[in-house]
Amino acid sequence: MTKVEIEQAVINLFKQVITNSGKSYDGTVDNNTPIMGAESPFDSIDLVTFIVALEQMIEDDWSFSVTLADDRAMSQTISPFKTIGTISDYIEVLIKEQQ
Amino acid sequence: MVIVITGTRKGIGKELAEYFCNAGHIVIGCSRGEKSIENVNYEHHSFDITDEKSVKLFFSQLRKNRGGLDVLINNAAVNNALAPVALVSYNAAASTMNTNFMGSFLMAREAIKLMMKNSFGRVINMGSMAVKYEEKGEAIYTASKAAVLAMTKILAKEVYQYGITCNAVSPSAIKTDLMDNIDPDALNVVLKRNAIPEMGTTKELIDTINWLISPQANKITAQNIYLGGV
Repeated sequence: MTKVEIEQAVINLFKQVITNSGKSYDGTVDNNTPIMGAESPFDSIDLVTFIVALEQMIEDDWSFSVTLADDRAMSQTISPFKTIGTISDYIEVLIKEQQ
Repeated sequence: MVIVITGTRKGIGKELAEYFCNAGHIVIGCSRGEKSIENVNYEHHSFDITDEKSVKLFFSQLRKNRGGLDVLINNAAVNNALAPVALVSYNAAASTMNTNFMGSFLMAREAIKLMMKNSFGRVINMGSMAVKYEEKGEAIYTASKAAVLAMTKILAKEVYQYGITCNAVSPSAIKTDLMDNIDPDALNVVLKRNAIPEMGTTKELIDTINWLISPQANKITAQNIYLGGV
């Protein structure tokens, strides 16, 4: 599982959640796209939906069982839930630990 | 429906599981011990609900094998700290809080993830009349159940928009292993405070849960229903 593959999967899921929630996002979706906070198109429900969908996608497509909102995630200086890039980085860390 | 019930090896959990199996539902039960129910609609998993990895694995298998679940009944509970606070050991308190609260939390956390995907779900947590009566010697058990009730109400607000309701049922005293260490005289004093001053039955608990999981209760959420006229 390469970093690029993870990032692309996260971006695809981000777009899917936006579409399913009936919203639109005019900006470019890339590693800098915020998934949390005032600048993010996600509200709290979208964020929960997104994180849960990510966990299930990681299990279904890549056969790794992860909990993204774990203790370490909550204690990071830079929250994994800040942008698509930070959550992708965190997913990569969790997957590498299981490989 | 696919109904997950914790603590099905004995007591109320076993009776609930047998009832819902016989009513034609698929019941996935769990306990730390081995299977004690033989029914074509029953499937048992032996694991500790306070162990996060085991809980994750259980729900992962549930998603693959059943596509999710409709109902979670958080029934498993212990009372290892039945004594005045001054005499309760740390481990007795921790194990009671772990099973009653943390176990319910972990099970609910993973259950709602599957329910969200199906836009439907019912989470039923077991409360206790102890929360209302604040009896001496029951501080830790009561605190664990109060925590469960608080989580129930807040979780209900978080998941309603996903089509999931979350309620608690607080039965009157029902004869189970948990009651073995309780002084019968003290229990009678407590029961006399209720509008219905006698022991409760699993039947009234089942009737209440049956209503909560029915379509008629689609908009009943964040509630704690006391039985026994508490």
